Amino acid sequence: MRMNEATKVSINLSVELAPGHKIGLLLTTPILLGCGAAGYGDAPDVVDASALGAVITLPLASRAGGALPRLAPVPGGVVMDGGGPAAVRAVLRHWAERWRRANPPVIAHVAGDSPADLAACAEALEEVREVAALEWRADSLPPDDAASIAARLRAASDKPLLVQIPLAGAPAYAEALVGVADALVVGAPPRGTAWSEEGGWVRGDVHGAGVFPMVLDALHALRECPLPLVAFGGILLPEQAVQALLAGACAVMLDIAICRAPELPSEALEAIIREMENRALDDVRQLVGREAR
Amino acid sequence: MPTRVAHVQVAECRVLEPGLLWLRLRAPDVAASLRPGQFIAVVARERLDPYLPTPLFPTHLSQDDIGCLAQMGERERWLATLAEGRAVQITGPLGNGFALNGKGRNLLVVSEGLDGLPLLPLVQEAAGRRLEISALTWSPFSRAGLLPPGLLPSSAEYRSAVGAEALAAALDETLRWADAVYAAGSPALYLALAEAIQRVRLRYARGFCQVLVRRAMACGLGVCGQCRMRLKRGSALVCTDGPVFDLRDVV
Repeated sequence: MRMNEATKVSINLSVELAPGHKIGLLLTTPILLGCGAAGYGDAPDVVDASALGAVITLPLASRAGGALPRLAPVPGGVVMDGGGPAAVRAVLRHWAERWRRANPPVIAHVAGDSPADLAACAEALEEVREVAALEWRADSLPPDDAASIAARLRAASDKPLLVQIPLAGAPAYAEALVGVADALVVGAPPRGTAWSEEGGWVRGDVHGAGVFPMVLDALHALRECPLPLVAFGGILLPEQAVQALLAGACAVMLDIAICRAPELPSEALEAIIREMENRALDDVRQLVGREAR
Repeated sequence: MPTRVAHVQVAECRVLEPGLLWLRLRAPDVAASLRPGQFIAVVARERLDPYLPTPLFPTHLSQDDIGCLAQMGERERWLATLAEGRAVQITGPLGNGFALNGKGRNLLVVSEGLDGLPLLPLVQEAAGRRLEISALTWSPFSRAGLLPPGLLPSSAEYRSAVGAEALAAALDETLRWADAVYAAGSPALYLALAEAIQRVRLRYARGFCQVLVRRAMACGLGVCGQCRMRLKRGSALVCTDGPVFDLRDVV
């Protein structure tokens, strides 16, 4: 709960991202830092951590991947190949203690070359109380395969599970993942290729302003989805966070754009509060999906 | 000093010659806390291009201003369009800079052409402390692009070398004299430096040679992991663990 300083009326900004889960995933605000915006679970010092509901780690896997990351700026965006994931055990050695003191809660982004690798990573995190939930990216698989791997992750871990689904074909993924995932992240960054200034092609995730309309489109297509949705991608402006909620997202996840605008999390939260005041709402959940038609 | 976000004004912006930019920012909140080798990230939020902030290494530091003499690649080109008085957002200081070794009197500063521009504030600081400075600028192929002597304080000795053999000879000569070495350039320079140090001094202590590593950076804040590089043991992020590393960790 937060107090509106002007009206002295308390407003509820907390959101539950795993309402069907036995533990749940209750966040104090609907603003998250996504994978690639919060390191291994540490919001940068220049970001106001009190505005954040949770932070997502860089990819963790049972074994470290060898590839180094690469990036290629393009007009209005960037193509990023994140390289290989970090070994979960090594990250735990360095970060578990920091997570203990962490505010906001940490969500681990798990990755792996096979379902067994993924399950091993999830199992390694199972006893780490500071990890509030798992996130997994399902975009390189057909919906049914994605659902079966998500079920395997579910069996390996008692933690709530967020699944990043592709923006294209999002409804088919949502249908397959109902009953398996606790929430859907909409969506996994689109893939692209660009020429690097250092030479050679970079193939990876596309981040940029052009992604947000695709996110909104997918949110509208998922308006009947019973799972909580988290908007992820292309959010550069505070009012876009509001638009994402109005389109049906329970929360917004900010990406690499926070390095352009470290104040964006607090600005986005302020914009959400303003919108609630304009609509005379005292609970952020009342804002979710109000314009999803 | 903690990293901060500041909205600052462009005090001066000039293209000195094709591919070389001079940018001076009025940034009292950040300028005073920058160390040589640290960097800032510059962005104009209302512009979508470039999307990522541009990392810039200050070359001239004062109490109120940050001066950057920078080579213009794709990511720096937009900076040349900035008018005086224009507001931009900077984040800094970022990264770990050079540390002047307290006991060292004789400093060897090695620059691969204009890649050595970020060494300038270190040289200025050393000259201010009346330390002995030998500045060696090297180019693998031609004299074009060597660091001009006019950028260095008059008290610094200036040497230049072109080609691998000339570099090895110049290093052999100067490394015997040096108490500490600071370098900025390519991996090829660092390899040559490590070989020369082992040849001349047989062994060297940690802290004897600090090198500035450049890699394409996205966030500059240590959160995106895009500038991860391999060290001799393990890996590190250039933006937060570096960009200045001990040569023994790199080669």
